[in-house]
Amino acid sequence: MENKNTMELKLPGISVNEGFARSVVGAFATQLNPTLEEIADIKTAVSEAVTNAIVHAYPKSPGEIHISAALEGRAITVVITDFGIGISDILAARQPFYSTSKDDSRSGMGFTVMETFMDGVNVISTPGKGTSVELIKKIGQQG
Amino acid sequence: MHIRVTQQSRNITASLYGELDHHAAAWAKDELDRLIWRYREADLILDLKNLSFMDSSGLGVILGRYKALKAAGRSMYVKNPNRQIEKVFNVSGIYKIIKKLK
Repeated sequence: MENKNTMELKLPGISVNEGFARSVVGAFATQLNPTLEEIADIKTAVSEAVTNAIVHAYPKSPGEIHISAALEGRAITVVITDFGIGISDILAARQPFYSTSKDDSRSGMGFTVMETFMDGVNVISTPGKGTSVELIKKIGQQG
Repeated sequence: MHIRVTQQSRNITASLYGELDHHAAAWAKDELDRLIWRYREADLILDLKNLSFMDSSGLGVILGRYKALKAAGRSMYVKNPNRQIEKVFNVSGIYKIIKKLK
């Protein structure tokens, strides 16, 4: 099957948009005929990336979050971009149970969940400029 | 999301409905804390049968309540997680400290 399709979404980084963002990307991914588990994996990873942008990127007031997704062949690539404070130490941020938040309800498992649920996770961040998280999922890998 | 509470002899069951993400986390945390302190002796069972989605923000809420209960010598259990939630639990290793009821 030959697939090539793209979409873009721009949202203010407020928490009510988390559910909307993951639902939109999950619905877009259905064009690849994924299993229910594959859709759940994509929605979970998108939820983590969007939540990170909302919680960490804009400490003073909510800023914009851009989400783009591309289908090509049997893979979906989702890029979540913010224009916030950036991540100073990406390697530390990706460690399990790592969180800069003082709130005891932040598990520090966001990147670990993304890495487990997706086939590829790439992070580009510039302090003071923002962060882009690229999530790649190959559909039909689970047999 | 919303929560329904039922009381048994030695424990309380909180049945979670909807989606537990960062957006719902603060509310869920406050509701569960209220329950924990209203029923001061009881263990807490989280029934996730009607929870359709949970991410690591929900995991944080559950771990935080577990810690508060444990500090008071009380226990927490989970039951009926769907496949997506089970996967998040397994990634986190939560079953090393919180028991899943059949």
